[in-house]
Amino acid sequence: MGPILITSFGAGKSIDYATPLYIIAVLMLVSAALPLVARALARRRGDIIEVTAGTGQ
Amino acid sequence: MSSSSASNSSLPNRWIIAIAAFCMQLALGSVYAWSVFLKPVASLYYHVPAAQLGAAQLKPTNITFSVVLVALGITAGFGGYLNNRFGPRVMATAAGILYGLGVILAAFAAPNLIVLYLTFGIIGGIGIGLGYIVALAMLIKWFPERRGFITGLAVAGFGGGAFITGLVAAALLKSVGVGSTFLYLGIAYLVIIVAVAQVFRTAPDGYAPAGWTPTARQQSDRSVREYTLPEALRLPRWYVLWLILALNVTAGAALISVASPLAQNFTGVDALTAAIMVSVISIFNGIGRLFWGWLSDAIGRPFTFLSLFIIQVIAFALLPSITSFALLLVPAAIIALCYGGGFGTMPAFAADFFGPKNAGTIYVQAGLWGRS
Repeated sequence: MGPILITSFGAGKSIDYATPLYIIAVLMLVSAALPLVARALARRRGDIIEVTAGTGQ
Repeated sequence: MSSSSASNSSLPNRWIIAIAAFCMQLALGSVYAWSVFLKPVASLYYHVPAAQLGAAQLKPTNITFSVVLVALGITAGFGGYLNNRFGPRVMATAAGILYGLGVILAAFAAPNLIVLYLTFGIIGGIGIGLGYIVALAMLIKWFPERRGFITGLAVAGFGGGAFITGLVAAALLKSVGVGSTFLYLGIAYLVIIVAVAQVFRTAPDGYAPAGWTPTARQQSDRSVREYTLPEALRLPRWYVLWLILALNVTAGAALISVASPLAQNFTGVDALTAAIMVSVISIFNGIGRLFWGWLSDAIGRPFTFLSLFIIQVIAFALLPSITSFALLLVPAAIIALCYGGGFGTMPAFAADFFGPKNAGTIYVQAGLWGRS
């Protein structure tokens, strides 16, 4: 996807690299919470149990 | 550092196993130096001088690499089951024989491209798929306290193999030609992989190094259940992990694929100077695999990927406004560091969320389709 996206803007021989770079920045910003979503999904199913330091678990 | 638990001193030294696995990964990763072979192979098979090669010759020749990736992915999909049944020594030995044999037979394939697809592509690809899955699956079980670091090491080895082979193959192609280069490299791969495979062992179930107990963070991030691949594919979290990796790959691959023309476009440097950025990206891509893998052991996999994404938001947003080549190298290096970090950390993430037993297979499926 990346190589296609980065060369998809601009006209003729003048390729616009800036627009796809900004698009990627926005995509990464809105996706930043995904790792925490993955953890929340695992916790909701009970596969991962919250352990706090000092509980001895 | 002792690798044996206090209750069982007969266990092998896990660091020797890790070094052996790293050597195997170096040999297997050499396939990513395929681009060095592309023009010489196309030139040999089509009897066209390298300078006059066009899409009509390069495209069919490059299908060889696609065949390798398909064979690798399919094999890795069921390789985990074979690994659980036969063990890493047998599997890695088979991997070395198949990969080495595939490359050796490729030496005699010219001028028939179909034979090259079958030898280098299918036979070699199956060998790589078997070996890659063995290294990840085996090391994750031997290093429960350093999952990120050890998978980062394995993945960095794969990248390092391409770097070394690129240099060696370029020199060999120039001096002895395509056929002999395949022959020499194939023999070397076969000997190296089969030799190092003999020290491979599966860690005992529930293995933990002497004196180690999981920290609260490690317990909070790890699944208490072992999943198989079909079970993992039924969970939403597998698709979230796939999406995370796909986004990270998309971002890094976008920059890597146009690094040279982008540098020329933004800063006005010539192609020779822009090539420096390509080298910088390669180096930081490799460092990132180890660095982020190591860091993820300390801060946890979810926060590692959160950091990777936030850092890249800033780097990608800054890139278009930079007009100095020296300054451009900074965000480019950071993005490459994060790109490698995704590959170095995701196998450990899969082990955390689906258990270490089938983590290799589960990761490879996410990794394979995440790259597409």
